[in-house]
Amino acid sequence: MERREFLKIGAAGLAVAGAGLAASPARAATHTLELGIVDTQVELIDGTLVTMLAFTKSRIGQPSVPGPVFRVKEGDAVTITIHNTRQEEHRFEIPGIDGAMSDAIPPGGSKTVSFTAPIAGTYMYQDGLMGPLYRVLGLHGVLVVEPLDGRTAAGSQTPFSLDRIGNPQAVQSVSAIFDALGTTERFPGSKWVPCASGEPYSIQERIWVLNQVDPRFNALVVPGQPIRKDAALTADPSETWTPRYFTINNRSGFDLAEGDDVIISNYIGEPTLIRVVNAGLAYHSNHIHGNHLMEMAETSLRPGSGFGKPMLRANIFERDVWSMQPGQRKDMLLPVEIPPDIPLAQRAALLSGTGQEKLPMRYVMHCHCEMSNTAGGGNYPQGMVTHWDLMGGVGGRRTASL
Amino acid sequence: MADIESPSPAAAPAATATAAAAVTGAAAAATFAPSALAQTASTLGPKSTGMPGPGPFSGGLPDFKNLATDGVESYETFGCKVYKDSPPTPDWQRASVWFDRRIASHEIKMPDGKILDFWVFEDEAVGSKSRNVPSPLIRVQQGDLVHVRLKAAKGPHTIHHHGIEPTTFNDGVGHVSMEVGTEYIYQWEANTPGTWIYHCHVNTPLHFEMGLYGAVVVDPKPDPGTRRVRAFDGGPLYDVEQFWVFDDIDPRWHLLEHGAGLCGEDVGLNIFEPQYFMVTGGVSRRGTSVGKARITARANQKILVRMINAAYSQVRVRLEGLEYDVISVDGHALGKSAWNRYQRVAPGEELVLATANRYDILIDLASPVNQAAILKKKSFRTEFEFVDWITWKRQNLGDPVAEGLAFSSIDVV
Repeated sequence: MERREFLKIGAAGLAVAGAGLAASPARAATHTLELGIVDTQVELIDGTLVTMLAFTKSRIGQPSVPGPVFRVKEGDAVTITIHNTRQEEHRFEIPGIDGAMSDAIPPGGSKTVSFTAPIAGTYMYQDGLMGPLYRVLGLHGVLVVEPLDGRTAAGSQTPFSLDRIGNPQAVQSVSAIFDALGTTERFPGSKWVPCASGEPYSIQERIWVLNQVDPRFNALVVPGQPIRKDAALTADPSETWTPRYFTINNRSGFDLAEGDDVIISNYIGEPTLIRVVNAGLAYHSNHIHGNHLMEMAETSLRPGSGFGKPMLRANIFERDVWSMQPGQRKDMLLPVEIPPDIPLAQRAALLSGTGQEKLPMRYVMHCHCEMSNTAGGGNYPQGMVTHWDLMGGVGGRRTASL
Repeated sequence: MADIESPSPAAAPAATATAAAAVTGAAAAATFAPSALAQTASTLGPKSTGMPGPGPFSGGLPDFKNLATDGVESYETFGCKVYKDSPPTPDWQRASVWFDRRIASHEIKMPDGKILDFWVFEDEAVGSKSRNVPSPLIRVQQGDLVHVRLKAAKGPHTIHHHGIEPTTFNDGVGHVSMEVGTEYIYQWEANTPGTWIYHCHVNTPLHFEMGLYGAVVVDPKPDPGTRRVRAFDGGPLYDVEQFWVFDDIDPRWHLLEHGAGLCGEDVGLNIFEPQYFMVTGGVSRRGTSVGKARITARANQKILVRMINAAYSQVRVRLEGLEYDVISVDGHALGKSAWNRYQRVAPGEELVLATANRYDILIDLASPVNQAAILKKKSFRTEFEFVDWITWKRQNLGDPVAEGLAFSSIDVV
């Protein structure tokens, strides 16, 4: 198949929309944000064109799937106005945040939701109508809530509201990880450093939004027209969903071999937080090569008052595979340590560049539920496959920039 | 590539039948190099399934510019026309243990009588008797420098030692290094005791499903004096060991050819509808216990089970009546760092494995809860439910031959 032109719509989707953060972490800021709901054309990795629903960054902005990243701080007052330019009803919601649900937004209408940013964590905003259907068709994005003061007792920064976690064991476990970074033999180098205010991602933080595409469902979206009805297809999507494309930040395969929103290119001792969200309808079993990750926080998917709330794990496993159920959000830490099974006798030469094999070391990340590594029924590995690069040893970034 | 050395049979501790047979087979075909004779024989771990190193030599500088390492990266080289080669192994180290794995075909009879084609890694020194799903165990000892020689057949293959974290060139992923045309010796050091997987990473959906995988175990060094081997370094001792390796089989996939779909054809590799289910190589038949998954132990013993999910289903594991501890996750032992500890699982509670997850569990039959259970009965059902990745329903539900519910037992004798 011919290589088609690459539309960088996914990368553009991670533009930040959380302007106006307060300078003082102690004072709650106010965020007044706007989103539009539109349809947009997306070209998939094998050249297939589909129509998706998308959020725009403002009333009339560039459509992006996933929608723009919002970053706010715990306690901030957030107001989001959503403008529906489509010809069918929509609704905006953020599972796990009390009050963050709009009334139905009629065609051409607008609605506003206001809420106080809750405990720190990774949240997904979405269209909650039609079950998860509008979400998988593109109406989803990430809201990051940062802690007012995420520091451990020893002063290490974390992405969590440690002062508001009821489970002392969880606080102890998370603190132990962040305190170990940069201070132990296993984790030489730097501490974890939060993303600078206003940036969608940083050297030490990434957001990966997983999704799938079943073009039969996209065919229901007709540009400028009300969404087509197909009761047999949409009555129970879990029975009819037959995804053919598997994406991270709306790209797959070769298109995921580039893009700083996804790819981590770090030196040993630059631990990196990966916020992983599954907006799709299929489960994923993400597998990373080169390092194990610490699975620190996940989302309660049990129906009830706790639904959608982030939970810190008391017992933090180091995994090379982590499951991502539909709607799941997880905070994983890639320690960026020396891959432990490189022979000890080989490491000095590798890091100094005098060995035969050279840096950077490229390690793939892919879903191990291997159907998701395909595109259009074949084309391995043009599905949910990306990588991270180990650039060099401790302090290498400073040396490289000289 | 030339074999310059192979171990002498006399130097090999016949720790296992596999190792002994392997050494004999390899020695018969080998030519000796004087330099290698001067080297002292390696000490294999008591449970090693490998041959003592250094093994055949194939060190040297690969032509990185004609591989994915430094070559031009394009849409085509990513999937359809991946770099293929049989390069030497860069930064060659002297191996303490080595393995031969050759691609071979294998047939397995399903419970309805249908015979399906599988592809396996054969232990070349053992020959066709080692053809099995899962492929022969790679078992080494902590600190071993491991060489695994892959001999490809029926097209290119690789070996990815899943969870083992070596250099990129030895990680076995074609589009970031190379697919192996004829042969390659993978090099890594076994620095973390635990349970791992090795599998082919070419056209992975298909090759993993076709059976190109096996277990990898890294044992800690034995205790001084007693020579007993713990579950991991500083971990518990155990009396009985079992592997529970889960697999699910969609017969439609087993009719596909090696490179199906790679250059753009729609061969339906996004659709997986398993009809057969295996645990540790035993094919499950509805209503019949899987013998290969059975465990027998005495009432005061400790059982170590190494679970590996090689299925594309999520697998829910339930042990009737017995409690246990998860002691290791994805090869990383619990309780060695301040952020984790053993996870107790109550009788009947479910443990869920995502695809490629591993859990090592320790069932201590001497624990008070388990002793109380043993007073009442001696046979405990073990249940393995295979669940679809989208519908969350049991696979092949209601099928009279095999549905996604396999079971076996733990029998206290």
